[in-house]
Amino acid sequence: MSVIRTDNLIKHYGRIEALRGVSLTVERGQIFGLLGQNGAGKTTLIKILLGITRLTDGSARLLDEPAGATRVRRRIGYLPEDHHFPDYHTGASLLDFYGALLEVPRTERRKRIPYVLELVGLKGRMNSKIRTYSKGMKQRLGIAQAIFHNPEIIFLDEPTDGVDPVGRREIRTLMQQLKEEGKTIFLNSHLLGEVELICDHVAILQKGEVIRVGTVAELTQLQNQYLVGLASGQTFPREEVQKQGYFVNPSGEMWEISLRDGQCIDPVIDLLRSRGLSVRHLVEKRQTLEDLFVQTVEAAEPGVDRVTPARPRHRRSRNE
Amino acid sequence: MKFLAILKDSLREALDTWVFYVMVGISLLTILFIGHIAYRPVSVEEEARSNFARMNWLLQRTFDKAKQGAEKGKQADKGKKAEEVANGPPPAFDVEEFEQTNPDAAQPWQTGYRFYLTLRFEDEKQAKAMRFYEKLPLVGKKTASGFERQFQALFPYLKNIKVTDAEPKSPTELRYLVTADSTSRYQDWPHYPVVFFVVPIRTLHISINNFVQFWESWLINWIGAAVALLLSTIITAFFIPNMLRKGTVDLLLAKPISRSALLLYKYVGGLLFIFLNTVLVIVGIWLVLGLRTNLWGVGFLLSIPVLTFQFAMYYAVSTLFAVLSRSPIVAILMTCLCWFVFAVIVGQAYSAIDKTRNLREIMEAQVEAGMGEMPPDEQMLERPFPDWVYTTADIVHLVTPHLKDLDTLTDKWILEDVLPADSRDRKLADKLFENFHWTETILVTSLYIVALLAFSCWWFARKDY
Repeated sequence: MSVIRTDNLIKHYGRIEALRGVSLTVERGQIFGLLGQNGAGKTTLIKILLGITRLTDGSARLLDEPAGATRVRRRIGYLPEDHHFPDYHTGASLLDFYGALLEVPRTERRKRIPYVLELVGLKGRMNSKIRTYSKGMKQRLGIAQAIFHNPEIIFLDEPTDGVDPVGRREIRTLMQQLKEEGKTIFLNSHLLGEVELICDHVAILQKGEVIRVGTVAELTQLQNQYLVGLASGQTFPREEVQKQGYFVNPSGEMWEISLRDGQCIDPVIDLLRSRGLSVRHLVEKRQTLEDLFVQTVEAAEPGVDRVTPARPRHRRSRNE
Repeated sequence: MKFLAILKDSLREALDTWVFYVMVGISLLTILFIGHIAYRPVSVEEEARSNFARMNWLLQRTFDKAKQGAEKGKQADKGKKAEEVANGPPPAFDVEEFEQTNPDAAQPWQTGYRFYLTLRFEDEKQAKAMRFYEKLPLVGKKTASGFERQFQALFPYLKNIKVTDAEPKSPTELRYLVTADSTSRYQDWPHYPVVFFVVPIRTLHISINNFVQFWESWLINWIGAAVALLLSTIITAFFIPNMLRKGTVDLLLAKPISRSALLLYKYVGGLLFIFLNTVLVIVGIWLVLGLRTNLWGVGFLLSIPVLTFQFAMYYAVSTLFAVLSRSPIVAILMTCLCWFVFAVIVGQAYSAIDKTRNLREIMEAQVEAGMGEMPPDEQMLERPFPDWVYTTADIVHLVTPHLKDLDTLTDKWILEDVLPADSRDRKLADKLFENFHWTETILVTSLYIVALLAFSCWWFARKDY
């Protein structure tokens, strides 16, 4: 069941076209990563889903309700990028304030404040003014307020920004724990390594358009490339394999075999076995999410943060 | 729950600013200052003796001038007379055999008075030159009725002052019997203040009514209110821009609360904060003044809702510009501009023009209150402006927020509290407030508040953050 659904979502800021027909679906219980360069429209998309920004055209639904509806907002948590908490609050009083706005009963708030702050490692400083917190502590507090009311969907915009490596690991563990509890997490992050580690599904947004979407495994898989390794001391029959129409290149102690369209790896394995060679290593070659991201956005169009002028209002339909 | 949460948040924000503590500090200091002043009733005997001591001093000066005049013009008839009297010391007033008609009276206003006023000359020769003294100030015609008028002017708080001729005890004196009845109005009785608990200011004789009016109307309702409104504007001008800061507003807008409710709750939070501070100041001053003067009129307390209402208008302006610009500086400047345009320029100009409508009645009331004389030229009492000026002034006044009128409303209530309905000052005040319509004031200003807030909400609701 999809909990987030956008259909041909368009957003203009005056002449600037921030989103250009974004269609996405996020299923319940997923950790969904949204990747994109600065100015790609990631934050705009989240803000539209939360009702902070109005959409220009298309549709966006959350939990089967129109995005931004008040009753939906009760069921979501949100950590914005560059958040600024009122620094006259303490960690505890901030959660109490936001909890009250989220209609969490007072008795429940009293129970959950120390619990949630302990979860993010801030219990010891819960009664200190926020102005005395470090950036990492504020980030942890941000996560605490996002999960405070036990929401069904949690939007996290750069949640590990400013957090030290240990803290990052703790946050990843927390997200995993939330996923196990059935929560859906929508994650915006520049830290692709982290996204790769934790996300089930990823979409890449470039200049307001979704250019790739799928599971991490699907996106990082390099089609038709395999790494083959033989037992120690055995010689790889490179020329024979090449004669069968495969591209062969050494890759360390192994051999990288590229397949043409329509070819499969089985004939190569059969050849190696017929020669009495022992295959110790056979793996479909993958790339990192970072490699994929760089390749994808550069292929789409290099350069970032450039204004994409909005098309005229009387533009043709996207289906034309 | 959300409303209370935002109120609590506003309070927390206000408590975090130093301006709040300055404001509360000023409020408490004002209460303490007003509260520490004690008021002691003036004794008639002291008052009479002090008045006649001043007269004697005046006589001495006049006498000295007469001597100089005599030396300059010895040939003149007037100079000769002056020479005759100027040789000795000047005559002297004195108060003798002073007594209260009710010796058991606990307070000076609860008894009548009886005493002799004497005017003693140096010798018979001086006494014979009596005609000379007719020209002296304050003596005038040396008749009982002349002194009676002077006593009535000097002691307006005594009732039925009678001055009759009495048998002189020597040929060198004039003697008059002065009698007066008690007065039941303690608040009309003159008092002098005692500051810093031990320092009496005996030269300042003012009725309790006027003391209270001074503190409540002038110091609190005008100066205090202006300072309080300015400080309140500064404190609260930060509330909404802070809420609209990038990274803060996102967090609030993601909560299940409508934008209009969020803005209005924040507005009410600021207003409530000012209301509480106004309650602290006004009730504090009312209590200490009540304890000190035993006057417990509630007119001053009514200035709490009026001041809060006045601030509601200023804060609505501040809210609108905070939403439009997200800048507290712009919000403060525009609020000050609103005050300057509507309260100072429009308000004062309308008030001045309005008073000229019934100039004759006001002047008559002023003359009756002992404040000035009717102008000799009748034309000066006619309306000085053509009709279109009054019509334009009326229209501008009607369609603009009646901020100045709110001050007038509080003044009116305070005066009704402290001045008896039959007093001359009250009649003058009634005349000045004759054209004042408080329903119109509240209605028009309320419409402005509603319109400003509605526009703020609409803007806030449609804006992308």
